Amino acid sequence: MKHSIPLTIVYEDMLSQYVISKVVNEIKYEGKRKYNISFSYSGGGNGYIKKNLRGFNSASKGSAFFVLIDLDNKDCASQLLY
Amino acid sequence: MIISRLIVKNWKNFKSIDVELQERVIIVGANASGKSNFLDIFRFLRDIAKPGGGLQPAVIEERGGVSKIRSLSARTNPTIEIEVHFSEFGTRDVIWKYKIGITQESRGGRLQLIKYEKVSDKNGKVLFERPNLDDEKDKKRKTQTYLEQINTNSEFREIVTFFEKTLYLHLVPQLLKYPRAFTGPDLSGDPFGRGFLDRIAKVPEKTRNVSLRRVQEVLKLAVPKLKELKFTTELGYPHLEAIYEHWRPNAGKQQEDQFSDGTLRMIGLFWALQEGDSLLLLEEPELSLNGAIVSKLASLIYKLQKLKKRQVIITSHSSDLLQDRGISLSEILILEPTNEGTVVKTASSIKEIQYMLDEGMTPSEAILPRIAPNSINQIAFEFQ
Repeated sequence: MKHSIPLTIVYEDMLSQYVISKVVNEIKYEGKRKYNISFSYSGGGNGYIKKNLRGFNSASKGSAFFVLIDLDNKDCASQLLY
Repeated sequence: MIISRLIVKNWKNFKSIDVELQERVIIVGANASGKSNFLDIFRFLRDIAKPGGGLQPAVIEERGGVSKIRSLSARTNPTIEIEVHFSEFGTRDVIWKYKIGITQESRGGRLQLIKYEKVSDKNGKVLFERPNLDDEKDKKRKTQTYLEQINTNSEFREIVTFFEKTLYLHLVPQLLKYPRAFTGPDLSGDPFGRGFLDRIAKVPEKTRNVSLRRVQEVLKLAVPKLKELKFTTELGYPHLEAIYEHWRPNAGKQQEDQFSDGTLRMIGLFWALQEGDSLLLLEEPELSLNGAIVSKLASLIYKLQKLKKRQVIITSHSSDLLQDRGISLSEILILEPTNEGTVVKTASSIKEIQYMLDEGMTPSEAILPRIAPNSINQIAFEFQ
């Protein structure tokens, strides 16, 4: 793999941004970082992500997205979409 | 007439640009990504074409020389190249093409030279192409463009007039309020509005009244208690006067030095939209304005530009301005800084943004996070 894969991250707050960055940077391929964070989406809080989640899900048809959100009482992330 | 396509090489932040432009263009990008430098391409062409202008002053006096124009990312190809395609308002058929390549003498007076210059019409017929035999015989001819020479540009005067009448506005309210506090020579084209009142004064009374009435109608909706806006003169000096509702008759009068910054910027903006019929360049029109007004700016601008069939290019940082779902993605240019200079993309060319809009996100929600610096959250920790 010559270049790392561009990744868009979506998060609730600064703490979750840090967590995502840490996780993403740990994913390696042949000793090099597999992903690089190219864009970040955050509107402050859970409501912002829930409101726009369908948009991010649809945009992931074009490139890789990583969304970190509190599932609260939902069993599965996909339930947030419907 | 509008500029429907722009192709540029080695201009300031940009190593290469090739974009389609619509009637209304909104440019977004991080700080120092090159939004003003993008507008400067059109101001440069105006500075060449305007009366008393020309290639040499446009490069040296207005911009400090070729070294300040050339892209820092330029390596192998140091020629500055600009190509502009024109279409009628509302169409995409190309009616004119103008292109110019500029380089600098490697020795001697280090004058700016035409590497090439070419104009073609809607049928693709080339009206002229330089350097020609005359240029080779007399090298001095290469220091001037055909845009600046009346005897050579009669066949394509329409292009010259278009460039010449390009208007740039970045109104600084303090310059207008206290013009005598800011001495020094006037800047070409009065970009910051120091001579704004004189410009209004020079307009024939009837036209002025019609234009001011339109401004007044917008202001009445946007500025609470404002009743009337009029032009007056006092001891020979031009003034703007606003009358506000007040419980005492004749008590609510204010002159421009008492206007709020936002009121002055709105007056400047809506006046400029009616001033002239060529390209209008607006630098961050949202400054000092209430968010509710900014969210209506894009549609207001479109209504006024349509009357004149003129093109408007706007730079902006405003999420309110981009909330308007009436803005098409093909109208938004995104400037993305890279190690090889800033890249200009039409928002419609980025499929992720289109997908987000299809799911109900606004242009602002889909685009602005992409241009924010990734490490911006760190800024608050830097001062602890």
